[in-house]
Amino acid sequence: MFENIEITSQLPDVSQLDFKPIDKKYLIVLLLNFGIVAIVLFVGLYFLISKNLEAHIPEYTSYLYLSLTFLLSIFLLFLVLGFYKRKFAVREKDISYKKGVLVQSITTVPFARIQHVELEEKPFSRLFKLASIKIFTAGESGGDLKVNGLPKKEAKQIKEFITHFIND
Amino acid sequence: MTNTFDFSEFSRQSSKGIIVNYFVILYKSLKSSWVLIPILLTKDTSELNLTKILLAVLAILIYILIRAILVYLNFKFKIKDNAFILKQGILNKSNISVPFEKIQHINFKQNFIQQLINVTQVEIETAGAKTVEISIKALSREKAIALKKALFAKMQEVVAFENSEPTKEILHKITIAELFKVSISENHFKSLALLFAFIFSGYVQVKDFLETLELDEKFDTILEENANSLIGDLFLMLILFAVSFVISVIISFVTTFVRHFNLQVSIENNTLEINQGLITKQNNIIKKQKVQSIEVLTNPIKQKLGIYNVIFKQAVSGKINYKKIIKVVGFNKEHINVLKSVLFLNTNFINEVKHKPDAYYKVQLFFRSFLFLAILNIVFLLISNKLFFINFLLVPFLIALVFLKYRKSYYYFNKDMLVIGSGQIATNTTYFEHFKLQHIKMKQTLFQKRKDVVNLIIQTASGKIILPCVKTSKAIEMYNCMLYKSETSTKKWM
Repeated sequence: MFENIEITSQLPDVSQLDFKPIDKKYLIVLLLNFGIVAIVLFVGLYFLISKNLEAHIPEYTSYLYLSLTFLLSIFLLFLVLGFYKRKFAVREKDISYKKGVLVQSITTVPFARIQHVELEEKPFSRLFKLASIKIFTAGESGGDLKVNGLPKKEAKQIKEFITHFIND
Repeated sequence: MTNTFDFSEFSRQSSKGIIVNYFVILYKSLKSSWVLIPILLTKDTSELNLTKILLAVLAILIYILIRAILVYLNFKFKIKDNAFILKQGILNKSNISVPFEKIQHINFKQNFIQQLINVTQVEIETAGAKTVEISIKALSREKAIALKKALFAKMQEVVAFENSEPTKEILHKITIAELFKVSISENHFKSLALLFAFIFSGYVQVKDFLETLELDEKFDTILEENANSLIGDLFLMLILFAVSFVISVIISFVTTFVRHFNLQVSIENNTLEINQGLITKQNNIIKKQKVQSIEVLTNPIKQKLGIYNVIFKQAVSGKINYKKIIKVVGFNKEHINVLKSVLFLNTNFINEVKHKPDAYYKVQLFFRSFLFLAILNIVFLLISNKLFFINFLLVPFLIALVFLKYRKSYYYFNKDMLVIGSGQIATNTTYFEHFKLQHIKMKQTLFQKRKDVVNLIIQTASGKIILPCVKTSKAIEMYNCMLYKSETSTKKWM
């Protein structure tokens, strides 16, 4: 009565997909970005305290530094853990991306629905010959799928593969 | 006057177009310069006299009139070979040519002014990466229809349209009595909430104003006297509530009548044509391929009356991020079935099982209500601890909402379509065809992972559809199936 069962079991299965991790060098890029943000925050806090807060609440200043350090180290922990969760897979007709530590997600975009593809190179990434791929479909603003930290060569190949698919 | 129009030569709009242009330009310039008005008003006006002001206003109005005439004179269109050609622009001339195969549909529209002077606005929607929307603001009704016919005739030559003889069939025409039923069964609390938001924002402004007048001290004493009696307070609140409820019912009536007056839905060649509106007459043509999903809405009262509202969610080609939503009211059950058979391939769910979200979804919903309650109580604490009593009303209400929401959420899944039920007091049913999927996502929190459930998020070209707390194995099955459908489909999804 349910003819679909047989087909379903033969369908390409996303749970059997062989996901590839992104380039290890991208962790350095992430850490560099994180370092800059951390420095900016600490300098900002320093100025805030020395210019303003020290006069009012001198006894709490050390706690402020401590709590910022605490917050940043938690952020760092999830950044590093999250890095090892970022994985992608390209099949003949679609591209999938997996991420997340606390909230895990898998997204798949069929090539047939892609409006356009973008290759993005941020300064730090360029240093390590890395690039991001941004994929746009109809329906939502901004990138629908963004895979960061691919070797530039591979990113270009994927982009060309998709562009070729769309134009056919 | 003959009804034949020659479109092979350049022709202008109806000369009444000047009036339409005039108001369009006037509206645009008012819109862009209204910020200046308060500045002008606060300026020292003693030096200015009335004649000077009048002269300035007159000069502006004459300028707009000249502009309107020039816009009219420079707006010409014709049909040549296999394209629609439009010339426009006073200084920046532009020449647009739209090949017939790119024309998606032709809409008629009439706003208030256009109705007064009896002209029709014709909008030609086109496909392609760079969307050109052509809008001819003022044509006489006959010329508009002739143009539509001429374009359709040419389009058929070029694209070999489905049938040559379209059979037009009226599916649904709303009567005043039906519209009355629709209005009375609307969700009045929605307009009530709007009203409260409006009053509240107004109240803050009025209060600021009163403070400057130093009247609020008197008010305070009056309020304090009244506040002494709790019963008086309650009574006052009840009256306020009743009055605002009556007002919101009136608002519902007015909005429904203005929007859906004279609603007519007809089917022609698998295409729906919808006409509606009191002040602005809307004419929409909904092509089967453009509909991304439809949502059928009803509520307990509407269900008793057998009324269903339908929202068509479309994606307009070209403009990727532009959603087009068309609402139609007052359908009955048979209408819905006809609609489904026109729009979708396979609506057979007889053999399918009705799936419910996992029971963990209730836990999530309770947790969210709890968070909401906690935040609300903190706010209460900050204002006055007397407000705490509201919890006695709110807690049972929220619990009931959670159970209702869980009871109403379900989904059906066959090999071509997905049907999702949702809603709390209202009942919403969304219909979506797999092959129109844009991308798909499975999302799982750590708690959900322990329960082996995921949220399935289906991205369509007109918004997200979320299936909460689906068993992982089932979700993967749907994920694979929907991807397969959208990857192998050769049908146009937009």
